[in-house]
Amino acid sequence: MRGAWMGLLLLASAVAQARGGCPSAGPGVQVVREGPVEVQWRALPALTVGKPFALDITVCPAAAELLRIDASMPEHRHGMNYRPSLTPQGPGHWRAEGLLWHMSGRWELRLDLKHAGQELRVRQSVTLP
Amino acid sequence: MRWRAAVCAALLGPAWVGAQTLLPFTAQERAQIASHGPWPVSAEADRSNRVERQPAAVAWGRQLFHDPALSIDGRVSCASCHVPGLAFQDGKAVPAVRGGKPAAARNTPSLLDVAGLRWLGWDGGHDNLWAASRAPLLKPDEMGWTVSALAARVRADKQLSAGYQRVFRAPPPADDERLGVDLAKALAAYQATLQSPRTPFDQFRDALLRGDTRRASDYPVAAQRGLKLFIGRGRCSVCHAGPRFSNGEFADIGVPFFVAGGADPGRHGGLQQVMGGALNRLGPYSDAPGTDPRAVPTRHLVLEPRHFGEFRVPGLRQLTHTAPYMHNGSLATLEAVVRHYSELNEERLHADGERILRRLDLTPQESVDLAAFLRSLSSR
Repeated sequence: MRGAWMGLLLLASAVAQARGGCPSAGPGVQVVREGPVEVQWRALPALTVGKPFALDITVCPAAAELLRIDASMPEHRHGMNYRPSLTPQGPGHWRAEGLLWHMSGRWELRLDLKHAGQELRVRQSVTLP
Repeated sequence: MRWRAAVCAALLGPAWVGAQTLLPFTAQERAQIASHGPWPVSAEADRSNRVERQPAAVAWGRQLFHDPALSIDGRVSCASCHVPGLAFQDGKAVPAVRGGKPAAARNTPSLLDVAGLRWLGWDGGHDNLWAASRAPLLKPDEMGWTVSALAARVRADKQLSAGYQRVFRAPPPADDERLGVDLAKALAAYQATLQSPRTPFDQFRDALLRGDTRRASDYPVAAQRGLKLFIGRGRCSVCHAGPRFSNGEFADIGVPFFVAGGADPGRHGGLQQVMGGALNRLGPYSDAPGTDPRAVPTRHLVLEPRHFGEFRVPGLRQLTHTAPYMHNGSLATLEAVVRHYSELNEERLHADGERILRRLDLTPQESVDLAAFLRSLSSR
């Protein structure tokens, strides 16, 4: 019975993603939208000044392709000391590695995507205490 | 007596206990203070060094560290510059090893708490402790070996050869480079055990977090005011973050990088070294697989012009035992360090946007307070 429910949930998630919407975000998951695209991401481990982290990223619709990811401190006009890499983890899912935010303050996370032949940029502001 | 304490508390504002005072700290300040601990931190084992946690390697590494035979002329050991009684540094602005001449343009860093550092050296030219330990063995103005001469010495010296065999359970290998790296891994195993003790700040932090007002009040009020400056208006904790009081990265803080005959490129040179070297975590001498999480930063490094003249943000623990300060040892006292930030020459700094560092213009009392806080980061 439990397996059937899990199957239904996964099916609902896949249907939602195929139609352009992401499954509901769980705890600790950030959501950002730009036009028809929704991006959900979660930092692993949690964001801490000076500690390397990875991002688990879900892009909806799954047909959208994640091209690049980067981050900077706009007020200070400097970026990270690292260039992150992206690894596909299945349709609509990506893992970004090699991120490190070395100062407290406002960071802007930027994700460049390609969707329906168009490139678009998703930005999210994150303040690191 | 109790009513007297209550009246004093009402008049002074801060919590007042006996002759001591606990300043009020906001929730945000408490969170920041919490982020500077707990201490000690336990550095996870470095899988790039297969002998790091082996007692035999630690013992042999300790012996090697103190052995002048590890220099080509038998005159200096690692401990000559990293003096155990001086928090494993030398107390000099820059080292003078050979004939009284400066051997380097950079201050000798303390080796306390080196385990777990992401980058080693003022320029971060190494991403692991064994590569950093090997470097001075091969510098002409330090230990003076060539790779082949060092390997030949280990093979020919019965004690060194036996020490190698004891730790690595095999005779010294024919590969000169590998033999030198293994020697450095034993040195690293010893250095990874060097941890600084708890400090008055750690006692205060822990007492504050558990709500122990009486114990927290033992922390001098000048240090409390200095702490508020450090995490507040001074913005020191933007870079001096976490339990080590360092973000582990690099910055230009307006200390001149000109040296005799040119400029010290700092992180720009260190990046080229670590990215191009065979002795990094991605190279063939690492004992960890390529998937080792500690190799991730090395794999993602970028070299940019802004790194020129940047130097590693040092941790601040045991500061009173590690003078003089800055990458070139140019500031003799903690007061001079505080004055540097108070009277900062902003024109000297790299900055395209909002300045990260600003001239603090501290009052004399604030300068005293900030120095008192910095002192509290050292054991007595």
